[in-house]
Amino acid sequence: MANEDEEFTMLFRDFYPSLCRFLECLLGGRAALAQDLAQESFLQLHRTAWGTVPPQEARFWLYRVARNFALNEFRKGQTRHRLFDRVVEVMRPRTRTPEEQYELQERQELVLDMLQTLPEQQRAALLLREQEQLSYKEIGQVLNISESKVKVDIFRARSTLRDRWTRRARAYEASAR
Amino acid sequence: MRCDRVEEISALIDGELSPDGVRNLSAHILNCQECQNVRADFLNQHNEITAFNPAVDPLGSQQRLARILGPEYPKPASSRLGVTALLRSPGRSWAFATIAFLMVASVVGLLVYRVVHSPTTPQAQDSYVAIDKNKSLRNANTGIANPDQRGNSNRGEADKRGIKKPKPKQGRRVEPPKPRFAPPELTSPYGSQAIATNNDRQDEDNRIAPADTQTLTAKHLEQSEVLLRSFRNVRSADTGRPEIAYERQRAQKLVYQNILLRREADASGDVQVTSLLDSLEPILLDIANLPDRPHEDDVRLIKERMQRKNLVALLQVNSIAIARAND
Repeated sequence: MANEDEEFTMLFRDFYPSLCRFLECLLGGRAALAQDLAQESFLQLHRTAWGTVPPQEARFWLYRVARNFALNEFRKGQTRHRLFDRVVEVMRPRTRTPEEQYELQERQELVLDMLQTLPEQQRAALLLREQEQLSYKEIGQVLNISESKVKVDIFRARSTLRDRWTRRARAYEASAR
Repeated sequence: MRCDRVEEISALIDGELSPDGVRNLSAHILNCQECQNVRADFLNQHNEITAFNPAVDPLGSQQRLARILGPEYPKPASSRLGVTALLRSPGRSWAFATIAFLMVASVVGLLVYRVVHSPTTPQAQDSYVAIDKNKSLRNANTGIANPDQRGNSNRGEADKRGIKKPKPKQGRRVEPPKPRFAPPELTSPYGSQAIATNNDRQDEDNRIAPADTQTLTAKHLEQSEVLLRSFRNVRSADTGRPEIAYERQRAQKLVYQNILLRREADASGDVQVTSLLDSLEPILLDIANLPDRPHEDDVRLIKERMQRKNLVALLQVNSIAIARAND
């Protein structure tokens, strides 16, 4: 039992931060909610599937469940979390200078905004590839779609982002003139 | 006009093309401006998305773990978990109202505190300026440009490596070996031809011309390609522990160059080269940190990562492209 808990602890330490990041990007920057859902996913794994899911599959299982939780949140569309997230964000300790913090925050918000414009499945596929470095096969396993669909989704997501980025850069140049 | 092969670039970046496909497409990219642009834009996107790395509070995650594992782990006295649990309880609307009130009160209190204690008087501002000037003079005397900045840049490096840490194949944790090798203070790998570093006061004087940087980068990419090819061809001995002393030494030398050239490319805004050197760096570091006779599983893992990133092909394409541009 203790050994199992130790293994679970190691899994948690390895993947909790990346699962939070994945969820935060998927949810458009709602950090506190992302952490809650990441915890829920681990809780679900511990209560229902730990011991039955093969160790090498646990990571994919977690991402699959976490994504389903995120989809539920989209459907609920609750606003209270947004308020809660904003308050948490204000209270979060800052280690950078205000200028650096501002610049970083602006870039991150831009990335999150751009990602939010993508269809959910394309967004999830792109995030799993770019941030988690999963292969197309593994992404297909998580999202329950074929490898070729993953390939197409990722390409479309990149192309859409590229178009938007280019359009935004042109608009910025035009306004600067 | 849109090139037909643009779709394949996405798969090339992700390392999902066959070796033949990689060779074929790499040759095509050299002669297709559209594909070069798409590739640079996709790599740029990759950098932007991977740069998003929100900090997760370690204490908070410890408390969440404790909550999952149950009573044998110490429960937090007060945490966001408690608040979340409260929100999900039956009387949650009342609880939520109380919490919202408390939060608003604390925010207002914080704002009032800041307004009262902020140094807005002219005397206070003058004293800040004076302190700052003294600090700059002291730093100039000691030859340190800005210790805070240096700390930040080092931290940035660590963060970057954190992002690029090797993807664990297993669901369970494998303890990474303690690094035996760490990059020392940065000096130019090319003798007197100094490459600028962030914490040097004579940054502008020492900065080498772009053409030189490109030559050095092309040379570096070529050397790295040779090293990775050599590492890829390493075969296990009878003992199951291949001999890689030569590759390890080469990797140690190339890591310094890589760090310097990556910073140069980053400073000059060359996204493509920065991204390539960025993907190369963790591989070089891992090879440099291996023992002379590593376990074959460690070698295999590095080889798999190299293959996934298509590093050898990318190095070849880029070194040729840069060399051509220089001609």
